[in-house]
Amino acid sequence: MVLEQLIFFVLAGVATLSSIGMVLMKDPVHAALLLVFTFFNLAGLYILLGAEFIAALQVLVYAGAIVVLFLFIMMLLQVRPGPSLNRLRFFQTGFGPVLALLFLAEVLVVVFASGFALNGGKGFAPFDENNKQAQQMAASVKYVVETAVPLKDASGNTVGGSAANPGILPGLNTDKEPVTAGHPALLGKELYSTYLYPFEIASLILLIAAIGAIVIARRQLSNDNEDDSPSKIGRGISLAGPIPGSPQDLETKKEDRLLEAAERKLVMKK
Amino acid sequence: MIPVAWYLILSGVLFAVGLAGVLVRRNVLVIFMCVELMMNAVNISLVAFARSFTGVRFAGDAFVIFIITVAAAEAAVGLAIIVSMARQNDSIDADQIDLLKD
Repeated sequence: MVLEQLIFFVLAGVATLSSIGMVLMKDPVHAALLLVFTFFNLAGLYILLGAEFIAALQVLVYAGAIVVLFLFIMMLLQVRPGPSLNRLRFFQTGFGPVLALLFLAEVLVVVFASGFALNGGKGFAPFDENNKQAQQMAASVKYVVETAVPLKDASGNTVGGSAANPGILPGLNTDKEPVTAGHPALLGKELYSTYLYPFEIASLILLIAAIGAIVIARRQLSNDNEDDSPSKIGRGISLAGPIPGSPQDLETKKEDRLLEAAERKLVMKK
Repeated sequence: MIPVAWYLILSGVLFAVGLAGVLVRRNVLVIFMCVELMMNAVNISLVAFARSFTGVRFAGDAFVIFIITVAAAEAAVGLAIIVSMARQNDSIDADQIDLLKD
């Protein structure tokens, strides 16, 4: 017990310190490396919480994919270290931390004022009347799990917890501590049954994001000497126009020429 | 057994640090990294809540998985926007994005 709390304090302290260092670092590359360090510490905290699958996901997706993407972009853009914090405007350096501290105070007040502040989350009074519903849902989950997950793997070990009652997964007794809650098989079963539609929508979001990223970041094709180049219309995120030489491009050019002719006629009339 | 409140306090601290970073820093990339940190803080609190209430155990985990998915999508699109912006005006300073100003 004491060891668990000690591990929590070490992980949480290092995560907090490295995140503060991330904000204070001048060089964005150092900030990204400290962010990776923070993510690894948070993965350790997930393991401490019993969510092994999310810990693996944290390392793979956040530390592995997202931050590496950041570092690639930094190499691509050749970022330079920015000005140190005390050379920024007062509005930025003064207002930001004050607002963040206000928010932190608010969170702390809420945590300490609520009933389950220091008793480990047990006996949370306002939720007791929902207990029946929670038990029903737990029973349904248990049913799903019994049919889906092999209770013993090849070496004869039960899935998490002790083998006291082999008929039911030990961790899923509602009056015991969650032992198998982070088990990937249970989580996957739940993802594909209860959260099926959000899951599909998430896949759609990923597809759209991939296409959108390619479209937005595509290098502008060489249409600089044209009048209708997107960079002239708006210097913002210019979605690339039709490819030069393609039928659509020729069509738009023809239309533009017609429009220009009409405008010239108007001017001549005036 | 670690009390849930500790996780919540850690989550609040990380979120506040990320918020301060978003407000203080001017580099768009660092602002983006601070947003990722804020999402992670929320994830911690979600998993802690999911472990603290007996009964329904998978809502928090499922939410965290969806948040990670959306964060990955957001990182891809956001970094593409940053690249496009850096090509347009040769800078990734948040103070220099003032196209609509004048």
